[in-house]
Amino acid sequence: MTTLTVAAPPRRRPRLRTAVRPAHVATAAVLTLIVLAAAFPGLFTSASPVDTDPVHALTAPGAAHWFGTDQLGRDIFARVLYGTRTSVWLGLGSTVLAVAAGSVLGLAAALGGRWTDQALMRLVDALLALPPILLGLLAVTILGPGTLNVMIAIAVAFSPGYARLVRAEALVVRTSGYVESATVLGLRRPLLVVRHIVPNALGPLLVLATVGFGSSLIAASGLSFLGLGPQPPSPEWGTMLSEGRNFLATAWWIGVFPGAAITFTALSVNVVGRRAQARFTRRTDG
Amino acid sequence: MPVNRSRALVLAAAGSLFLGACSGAGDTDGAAAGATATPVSGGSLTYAVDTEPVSFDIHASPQDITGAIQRNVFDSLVHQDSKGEFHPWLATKWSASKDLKTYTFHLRDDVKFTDGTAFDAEAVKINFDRIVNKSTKSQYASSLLGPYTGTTVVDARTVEVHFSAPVASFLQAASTPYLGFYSPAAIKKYGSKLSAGGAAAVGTGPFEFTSYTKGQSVTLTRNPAYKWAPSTAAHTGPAYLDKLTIRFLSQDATRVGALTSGQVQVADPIPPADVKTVKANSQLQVLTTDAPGANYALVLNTTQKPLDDIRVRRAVLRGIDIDTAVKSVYFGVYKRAWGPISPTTPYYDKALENTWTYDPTLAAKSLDEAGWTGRDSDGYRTKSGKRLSIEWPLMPQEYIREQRDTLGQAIQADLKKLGIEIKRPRLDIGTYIAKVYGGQEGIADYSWARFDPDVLRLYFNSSSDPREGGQNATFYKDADLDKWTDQAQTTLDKNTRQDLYAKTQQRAIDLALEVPLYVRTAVVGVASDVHGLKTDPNTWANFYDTWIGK
Repeated sequence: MTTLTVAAPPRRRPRLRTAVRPAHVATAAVLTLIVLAAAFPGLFTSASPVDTDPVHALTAPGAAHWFGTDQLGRDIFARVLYGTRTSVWLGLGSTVLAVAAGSVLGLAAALGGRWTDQALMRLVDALLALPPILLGLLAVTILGPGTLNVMIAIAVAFSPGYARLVRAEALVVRTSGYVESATVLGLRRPLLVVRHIVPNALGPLLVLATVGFGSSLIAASGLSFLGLGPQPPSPEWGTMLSEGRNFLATAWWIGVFPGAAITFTALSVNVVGRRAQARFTRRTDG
Repeated sequence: MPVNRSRALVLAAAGSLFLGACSGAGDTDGAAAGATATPVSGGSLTYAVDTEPVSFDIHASPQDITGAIQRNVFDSLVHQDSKGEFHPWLATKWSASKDLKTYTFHLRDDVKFTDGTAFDAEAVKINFDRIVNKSTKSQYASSLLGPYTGTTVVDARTVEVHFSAPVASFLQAASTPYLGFYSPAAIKKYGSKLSAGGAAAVGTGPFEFTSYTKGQSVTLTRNPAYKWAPSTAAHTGPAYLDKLTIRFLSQDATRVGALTSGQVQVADPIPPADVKTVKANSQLQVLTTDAPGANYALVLNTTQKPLDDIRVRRAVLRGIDIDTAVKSVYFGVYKRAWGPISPTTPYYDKALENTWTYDPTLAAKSLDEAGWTGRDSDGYRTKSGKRLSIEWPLMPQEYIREQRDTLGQAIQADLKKLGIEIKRPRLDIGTYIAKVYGGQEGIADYSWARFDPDVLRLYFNSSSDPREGGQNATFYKDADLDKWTDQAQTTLDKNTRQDLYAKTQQRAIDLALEVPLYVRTAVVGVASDVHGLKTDPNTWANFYDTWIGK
């Protein structure tokens, strides 16, 4: 959060083709912090995220506890830090799973012939008609709560979007000149898919996945908020948010800090995603 | 503008400080002031509760909220006061046969249902017979009647209720709203539709059930003909309030907000975290009452490893800092528990208090003796390479009340210090019930509200097997516990019952069958112009004597 004040707007706009905006600097700083926190939470605090200390329960943010303590006296700063890995891993893992599942579906639809295409795309239509969080809830109801299951649930919820994109890209690439030449040259179909179609359909997919990571993170936190994600006492942002909701009037810090962590992470990744999207569109246009 | 605004803020802050200072005094004598002032009839009151009944049928529903709402609409044969004594209500006199298998009740002759039907012996028979009728699908009232065999109408004012086995707790059961009386005409007319509430719920109580809007509210209006309140009530004749509206506000913040903003006059419950805020408001007061029945406790399954070893169970009993945990999670509003039943339950054994305080050294020694002397890389104890691990499953979030999951985390942390791993997988409710009541889990946690020590039989008698609808999730079979809890049911002699129930409570702790945690406490927030609101032995708000001051 301090990074926002660090980045003062430059007085003179540098004459570069892609201007470096303060938002980008802030984003980079936040993302670096997130990666560091996820990898080495112990760098930033010596406090334990699970040790209780009832004597110092509900201490307001201060020098001893930067983000205050919760009802059992646990240090919120440590919990938010240690929670980074779980929460980011939830968002990342579910996005990777969703992209993988979406790619398989999309490629199968694009290359599998008319009937496969019709059947798969109508299924995708049906899934897209439902809000992702509802699909996720349905999946987690069937699978049961837990970190891995939430990941799968979110992947199920977001994969239809990726399937759509991959199919569209694959259809474009399939009818392109170089693929036709490769076919004429006698390249076998599986090799053709791996060597030409997948790499060329991948660009837009990565952009969408970056933006999608933010949505997945929020959806996963939402499921955790409902008590379906990683189980206490392990720290996770959504779960912490849920624990803090009963104290908004008396101890705002329990809910506000994990909430801010979710917001800033999703926001930063989104900024990166949008920027990548802009660059990618320019590149393909030009 | 900014100047004006900041001045207003300062004034508001000063005002709230002043009001806050007043409330300290107002708190304690609020009730006394209500008692001395002259009650006024009229006005309406809105009561916010956290649960909506699934069924309004008192004979079918097992829910507390059904009883709490319908208590205003239905009367009982006898009234039980907070000391456990019985007083005449719809029955003027009663007697029990020596073998406790037959109870005779002599009824008042001036009682009428709100549809004009007279309340008589026939009405008692029709209602009790309806409760045990399979088609009523009773989930609680039928268990209160227990070994009921039938009711005999001796004459219009006299009934005999018969049982196949001795029932010492029948008067208590008869005092609950679940054994209340519907108008026979209403039973005939509405039958199975009684669960919907509304005009079908015809009773003899101080209020009439006017309407029910699902998801919103229930409206009750005064019964002008009411003149048969129990003698313990503060007044006779009809209730003071014209109208009583019950609103369903399940979110804590919404319910508390509705009370502080004056949209409702009574809110139940107030979460412990908000008690300070409500108390600081001079327009509001807080009523707290200890709930009767079995305390919230960890029930240890004695048939599963490692809790089959009494030394491990004793280590769990002595190795949790219950005082600190309960105090910090419930802000000092709930009391820690010392025995299986709460202090307000008849025959509570006070001798248990302070006999098994927190002693981590003793707990560690007990584990050493049990052979759990090794340590693994995570710091947990081991015995022949196996980790000391106990499974205590979590219910789905929507079933968890009173922040029991947070209290669980404090317990988990304390036991971790001892080297005991507590695993808390979250199960769906079907799996939870199947595994916990099937005896496959290490720890179960629950409380049981009932104003009767017979709850000890439910908890510790080996015939109360959870696989057959019982509640003894310790799965322990002990000849003494069985004998004492059975015997106490066959006598009305107070000294004998006192002795038997005291021995039962002590043995349950000696054997470390459970770890009592806290006494459930009803915390009701009340606007200060509401007078004469009392909570009954079940901690439900009683609105018969309630009136609104000017």
